Amino acid sequence: MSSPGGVENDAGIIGGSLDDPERFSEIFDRHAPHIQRYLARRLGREIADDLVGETFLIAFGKRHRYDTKYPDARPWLYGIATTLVAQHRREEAREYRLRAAVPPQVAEESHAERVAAQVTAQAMNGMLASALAGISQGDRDVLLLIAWERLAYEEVAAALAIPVGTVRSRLSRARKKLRIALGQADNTTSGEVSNHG
Amino acid sequence: MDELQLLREFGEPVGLVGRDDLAPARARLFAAVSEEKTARAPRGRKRLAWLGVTAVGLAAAITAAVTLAPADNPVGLPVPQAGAEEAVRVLHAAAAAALRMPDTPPRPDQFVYIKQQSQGDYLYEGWFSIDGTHDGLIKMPAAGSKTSEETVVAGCRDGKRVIIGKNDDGQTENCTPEPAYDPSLPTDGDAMLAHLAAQYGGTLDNVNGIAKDVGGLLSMKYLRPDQRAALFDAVAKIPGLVLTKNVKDGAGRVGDSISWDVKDGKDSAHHLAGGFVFDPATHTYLGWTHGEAQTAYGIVDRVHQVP
Repeated sequence: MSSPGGVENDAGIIGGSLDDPERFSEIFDRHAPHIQRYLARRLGREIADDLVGETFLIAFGKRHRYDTKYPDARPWLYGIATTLVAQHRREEAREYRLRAAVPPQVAEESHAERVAAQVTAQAMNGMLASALAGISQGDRDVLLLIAWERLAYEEVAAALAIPVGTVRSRLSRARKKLRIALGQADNTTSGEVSNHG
Repeated sequence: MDELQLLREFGEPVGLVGRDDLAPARARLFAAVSEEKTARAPRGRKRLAWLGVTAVGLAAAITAAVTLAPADNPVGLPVPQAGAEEAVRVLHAAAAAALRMPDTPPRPDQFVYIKQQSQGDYLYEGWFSIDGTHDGLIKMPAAGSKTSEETVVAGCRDGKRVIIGKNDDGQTENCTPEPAYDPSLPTDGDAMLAHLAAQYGGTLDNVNGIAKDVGGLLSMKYLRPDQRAALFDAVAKIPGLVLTKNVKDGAGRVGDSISWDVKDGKDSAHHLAGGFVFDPATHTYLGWTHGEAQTAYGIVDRVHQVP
């Protein structure tokens, strides 16, 4: 809802929704597309469509406890969504495998180049899928909130209720595992996937 | 290219969805908002338990969010006036009325059209594909507003369904068709009762759940007259029936309401909120007491067409 000074921040809307519950739909309209996409990236479209509703129902039920010193509700919502993701580990691994199995879109001109690039990208995605599934849940949460959702370290810390230092250490551990997984692959597949590290 | 960039590219193909795709989730939030507002009202009813929507289709999620929510003994409901015998009589009359409805088997390419009205002029219209492979449509108010919004219910063809609302780029997902008409639904009361109970381990213990399923069949599916009659005959066999006369449906029409007194294992029997309302003269199905009234129902050739 607009105010003379501009657009009201999330904290203001959530505060207002305590008396006027309908206002919470503004939080939904603002953030649901990104929360759905995050869930879809981790769990696939079908589960995401269900859990995005769940995320906002939980948020609505807990809005009394929202700390209004945080103007942006995104970390809070990502935190709730991440908790739901944790209940679907098996589906998460399956989603990454499925995604890796789909030939990626590539821009190369000739058919041969396109095929080669697709093979390369598909091999890479297969390795990424395995690597992601092998990273511990807590580390993966940090990695994906930063890589996919572009949250800042402080936002990830708020989302997961952990210190910023822990965010850094988890990220660095997760990246190392990814690098190892991709690096090892370099030695076992043809040179076409070896130019990234 | 570093590993974070590779990871970003791995996640990139999943794009943002549009408003249409988020409509079911919005409807669920809207239902929770409405419940809280109702609960705050001076003579508000107890907060309703949302019996989770899991892997249901788009249409199911939307309809469930705005229609079926039996609760235990809300304040202000009319007190049940008659017992099972009278209720059974009404249901048998409803079955007979159903059998008098015109019976033309729907074609696979047609749609069942269902229009519902809730208290506060909340209008809902749905066109559901008979065989589940054609694109249906739901028109309902946007969350928190009375302005109507249209949501396409994508048909499932060859195991694929177009993801609606995402830049219309034709991206698809795997699916199973959800036909609005199931020719294999039973046509006699006992078989229909077994069909309803099958969802709950073959027992009739979960009356609340069965009542919702019956409501779902009446508000989202097309049943041929003999199937519809079988449904009312089956309902007549579920223990705990009570009849309440002079109840208003969502459109203000007065009728006979069928509901249940159920035992939940802890307390003594309590009365399920809401009930199926029937016209006292014609015995046709009118709707759900304090949910919605069904004001139109029929088969049409295409979406946006009304019978």
